[in-house]
Amino acid sequence: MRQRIMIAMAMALEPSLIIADEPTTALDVTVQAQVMDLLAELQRELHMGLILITHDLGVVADVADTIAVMYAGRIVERAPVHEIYRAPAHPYTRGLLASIPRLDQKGQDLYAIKGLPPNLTRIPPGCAFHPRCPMAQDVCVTEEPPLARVTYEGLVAERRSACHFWKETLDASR
Amino acid sequence: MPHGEPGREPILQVRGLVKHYPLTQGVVVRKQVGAVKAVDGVDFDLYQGETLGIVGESGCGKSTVAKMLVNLERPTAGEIRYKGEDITRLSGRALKAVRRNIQMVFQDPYTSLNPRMTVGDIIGEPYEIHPEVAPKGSRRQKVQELLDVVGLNPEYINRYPHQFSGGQRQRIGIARGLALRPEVIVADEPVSALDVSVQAQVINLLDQLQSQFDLSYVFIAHDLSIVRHISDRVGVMYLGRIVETGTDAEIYEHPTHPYTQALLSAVPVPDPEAREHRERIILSGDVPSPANPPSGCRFRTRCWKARERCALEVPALAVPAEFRYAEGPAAHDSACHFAEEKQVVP
Repeated sequence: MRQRIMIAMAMALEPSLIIADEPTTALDVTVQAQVMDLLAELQRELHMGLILITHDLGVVADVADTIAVMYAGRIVERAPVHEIYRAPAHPYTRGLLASIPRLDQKGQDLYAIKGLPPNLTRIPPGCAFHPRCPMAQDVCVTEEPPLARVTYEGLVAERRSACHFWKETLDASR
Repeated sequence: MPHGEPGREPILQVRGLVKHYPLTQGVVVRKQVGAVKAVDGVDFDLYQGETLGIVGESGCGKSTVAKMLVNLERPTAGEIRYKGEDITRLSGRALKAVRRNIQMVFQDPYTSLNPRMTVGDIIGEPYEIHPEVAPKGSRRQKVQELLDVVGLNPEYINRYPHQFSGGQRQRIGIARGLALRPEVIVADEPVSALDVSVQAQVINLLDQLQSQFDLSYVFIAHDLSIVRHISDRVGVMYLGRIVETGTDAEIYEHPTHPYTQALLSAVPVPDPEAREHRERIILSGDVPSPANPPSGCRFRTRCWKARERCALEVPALAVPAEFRYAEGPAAHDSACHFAEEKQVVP
């Protein structure tokens, strides 16, 4: 109910963009479903843009058109929602998706990204993810990868990945 | 993963567990005007070596159940039998001996570790209360062994909790839970305060420790996919009661209680392909107050199937009549007058 009031306040000036920062994190799933439903409905009716900030890979899969994945202060991958879930082009995204428990993994170990997110006062040089990355090479320590364009056959929208080895990652996840 | 077999004696039997917190009024003359019925009649069994998952939304009483299992709260009524003995009636030395065998891992690794104590003191503290488990001279070594078991460097024994990350702190909390070599571990939302990438590490550790020490877990969480991954059997709670219980496949693939169905359908699936062809059950309203729960079936105020009977009769947690003589996964305990199988997870 309180989150509905917040949404009403945000709507009051009929904005063209709403930024929702973890709007359902404090809520239970049945209430979360109500709030996300409401947001989606308002967005459709009022033709608003929505930037949804969340850590829940389920919620974004449900509502987003495009997803940007952040790590240590940078966007490391950006892609249309269907493409990113089908085949991530950054090892961090790949690790996140792999660590979600899936039905066919029952009784097995979950995939876990090794190590911990870096301290933001001491971000690793080169690619910030390299100390935790299974694909890291020497170049990852010395050169920060740009958010480069990802291309492959069948891709219609723009897609980007900040990984020196996006091609290899993409092939490995397909 | 080991499974509970009905033929075996359960290690924990919970029967009719109730916890009411009194609501009082008046300053000089306090009188009870009502009660918050946090837990209101919960039954379950836990078998050796198995994991029982308990799911439900906030305020459904799952944490209160956890506290009663480890004797941090005294039940208002009901029994908790550990190997046949009702531990709610025990006191003194007998209670202390039982408590050693049922240990807890807490939700928040930031507040459940004393910041002024070293890791060695935190993990070794249970030995102060139960010195028979580890004589004084051997404690340091025991603590270092425990650190190693949970995947921390044994040399960290003199560090303080703030020097560790959330995931590492939860490992410290798990090491403390293991110190007395318990048989049952009650884990109350052990990974919900952790990052997604770290959750998997802790879940894997719990899994590995279970086989290593033949532990039985009561695993309490609101994250349904994690509960499914780790549990052999699952109980779904709503407003102080268990509404449905069964094996993980029975609950997730063949739920018969409308609340379980709504809960499962509300969980966002991390697969954008599922968006279009998924049926979502959106419940109206909020969970009613446990101080004044609805009569009859407690879920009826939000249930799309509710009829007159639901307001009059409390549905029992049993195999519903229509499935009683049927073989198959729909024949499991469900507290609904109009239980019906419905697959909601794609």
